[in-house]
Amino acid sequence: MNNDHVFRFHVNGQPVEMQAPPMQRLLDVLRETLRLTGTKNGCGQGICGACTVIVNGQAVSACLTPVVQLEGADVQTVEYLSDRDCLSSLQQSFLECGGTQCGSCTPGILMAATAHLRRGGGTNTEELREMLSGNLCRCTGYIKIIESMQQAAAAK
Amino acid sequence: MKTTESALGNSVPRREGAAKLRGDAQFLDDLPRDGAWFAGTVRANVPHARLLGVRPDTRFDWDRVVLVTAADIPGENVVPVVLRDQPSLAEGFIRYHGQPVALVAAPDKETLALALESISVLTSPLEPVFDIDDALAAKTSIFGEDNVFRTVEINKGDANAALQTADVVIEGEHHTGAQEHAYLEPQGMQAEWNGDGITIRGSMQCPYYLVKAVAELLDLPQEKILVIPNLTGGAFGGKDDFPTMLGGHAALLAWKTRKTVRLIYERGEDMRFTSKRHPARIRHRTGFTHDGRLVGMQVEMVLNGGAYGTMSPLVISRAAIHAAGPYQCDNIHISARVVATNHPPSGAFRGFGAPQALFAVDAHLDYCASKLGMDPLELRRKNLIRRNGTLATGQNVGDDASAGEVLERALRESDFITRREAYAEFNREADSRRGADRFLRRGIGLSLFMHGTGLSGYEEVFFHSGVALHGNADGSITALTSQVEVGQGTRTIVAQLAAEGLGVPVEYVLTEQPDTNQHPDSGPMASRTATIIGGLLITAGKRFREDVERRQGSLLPDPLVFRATVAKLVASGERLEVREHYSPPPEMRWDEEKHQGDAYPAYTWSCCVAALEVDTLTGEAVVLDVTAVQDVGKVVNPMFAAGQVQGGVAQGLGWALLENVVWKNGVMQNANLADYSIPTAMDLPPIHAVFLEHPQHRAPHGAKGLGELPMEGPAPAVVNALRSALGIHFRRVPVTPEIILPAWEARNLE
Repeated sequence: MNNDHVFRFHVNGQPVEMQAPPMQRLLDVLRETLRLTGTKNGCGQGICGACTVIVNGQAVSACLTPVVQLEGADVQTVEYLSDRDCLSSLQQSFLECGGTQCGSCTPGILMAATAHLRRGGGTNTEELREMLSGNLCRCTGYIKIIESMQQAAAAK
Repeated sequence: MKTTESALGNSVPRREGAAKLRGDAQFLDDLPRDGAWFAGTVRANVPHARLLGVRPDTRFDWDRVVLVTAADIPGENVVPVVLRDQPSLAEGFIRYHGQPVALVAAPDKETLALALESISVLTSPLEPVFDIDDALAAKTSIFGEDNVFRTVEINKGDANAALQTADVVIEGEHHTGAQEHAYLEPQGMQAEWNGDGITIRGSMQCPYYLVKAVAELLDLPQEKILVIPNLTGGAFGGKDDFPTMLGGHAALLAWKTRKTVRLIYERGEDMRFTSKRHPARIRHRTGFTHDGRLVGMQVEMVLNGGAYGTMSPLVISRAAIHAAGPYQCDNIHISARVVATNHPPSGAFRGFGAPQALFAVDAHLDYCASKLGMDPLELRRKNLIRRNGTLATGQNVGDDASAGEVLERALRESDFITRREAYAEFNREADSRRGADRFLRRGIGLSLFMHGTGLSGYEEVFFHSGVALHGNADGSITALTSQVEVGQGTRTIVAQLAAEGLGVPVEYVLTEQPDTNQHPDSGPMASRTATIIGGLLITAGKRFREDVERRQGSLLPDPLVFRATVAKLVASGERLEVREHYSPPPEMRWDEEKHQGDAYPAYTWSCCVAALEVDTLTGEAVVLDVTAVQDVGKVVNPMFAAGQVQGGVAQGLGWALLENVVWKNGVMQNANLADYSIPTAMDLPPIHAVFLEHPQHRAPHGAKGLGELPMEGPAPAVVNALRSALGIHFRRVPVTPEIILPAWEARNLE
């Protein structure tokens, strides 16, 4: 590929400099180049939300984000949320409340929830349902995901 | 001295939960690639044809890739599920659009894409059949003489005579649509040639199916096939039979390339070409006395099985057994057929034929109540199965008879009677309201149903499931089953169940993702983990403890002492291992040919209430809340059990209101998650799960099956709630706004 460009950005606080075609998907950069496989490929069309990551504070679908949009950006993935052995309070709530079942949607939902809570988004059930509407889960019916988020928000 | 509290009934956290939450749980495509080749599938682009061959474009350098067709298969070209009618790769005929014809493996994605574009499938078209009546007319042959994969007939008493003398006979025909599993992790398999055999990893429910299938396909002994399931990102039955084909494909490529090959479906490919829930047409003729007592039921059911048999012969059995619902009737005739069409093969899906059957019978019952001028609650109370009642197969349920209790509990929990009156009042006053509110109508409805625990009839005997417990040097005990973690919490509850039998804290029991070298075949499907496998684990645990205590020569009630004793015995070279295999309770009788007798060891009884609001201007129905009450015998892990019910109800609401597979010439037209809508958080209501625990006597801990059941209640409850809101009986799910709106407008024109 001769149309590669050099891109510089941060992923989980670490500087990344890479040569890539401008339209390469952030999803592939994360999963294949950086081996950050916590971000899942559920549909590749920006519908299911399994690949949700945080770019400059916003929750975005990594499968719809080309690397050309990332120059100087700050990218955070699910791997950023916890220290090696210690879950974050949000992750701990998901464990205690049953907010994860098969786990495929979980990283994306954690990132969408993190972006929402960081910007002071509301945590009543209706607000959380709206916030979650871009992330599909086939296992839980969303009830325990919402309970997990509310428990984490209440603990703050 | 301490003794151990029961490990059952506690919300033990999910064992692999932290890994899933950190993002380091490894699903198939998360494994390091390590040079694994990419793979893809060459598919037929017509629904029915003679296959003349494949033509590789000579402008492409085929030395760069490996191509496999049916001619390469060293063993038998078959996907062995039940009937052995399905080839792994098409040979002679094409039976559905998208049927795999050839496989390609390439060192990188770009080369793979080029190769797949450089090959064409040569066919000579045949008349396709998509409609079940056309299939039954058998003008075009897809399977056998009559295009019927299997017919199941069930007779109890004399339904014909009973309907002739009944005071009232009411007929009704209901239809259900296909449903896509929509697990979030698409289908995927990786196969590795290891010198003289194959190792397969991937996303699956049943690793032992693959051992048998790949051994036949490659003409290798089963010992040469090792299957190691990964954590599986949702399954719902979609990873029961389908991976048998996909794993075979990966294995063929690995065998021919002598490399590791990873074959993962894109979402669109997964939705278009993997199995769906069987569409169904179900006709009821039902006889009553004037005061509403059921005297005769005739049920005629046809399921669309698609192009190959897959699990259909077993699905139709469960559908037939559940076709009369939880109602006492002395004269029943059930005729159930599953037919071949040129759709992609239908397959296993949560509920396995029972949701279709239970939708029809319980929607029909509300319709009958209206014809009889009775309250549907009274009609159910009058006819539901009670203690020592008999089901359609003649099975006497004995004490396992909670239909009445779950009904009454659900009425109380949902405040059904009060709300039904309030909604009727709301609807009567609709025209007097101003603004958009005048278009709103509200309704509440329910369904009463049961789900047989474990596999149907003889199947449980045939599977002969096994478990093992193994003592470790540190005094811990490993529980070995082939229950794959697909999200249901198997790793955690297997530990709870083994700990219960052993009388030790749950932390003492280790569980791991299975592999077919070390883990006995226990067959994870059909809501069996907590009940059938659970029973084996508890019995094995008790035997393990007895063995340790016998070797030690004393009782060891203190768990710390027990653990130390296990460690000491293992250190001294003693092998502590207990295996347990399923054998049916001796008093159970089953006649497979007549479908008579004890179809299941127990039944989970349930009542589902749905309240909804319809905007009659748009036809949109919004579910306000759902209450699901079920007698599960014993709750093993309350958090997981509630999660199963909430997720199952969500899937059932999707099937009832949203999930519409649009077919054209046998191809799904809306094969993406935007045009085929599964419920989002915005689409779903609060879901209230209530558990009753009347232990069943055929499992040592009393648990009955749960996983599939909650999917079965919402569709009939929603249709009955729509009747309560609009006064219209809908005979079809999904009942989308495109169906509701014209029905409402037509009613108002009358």
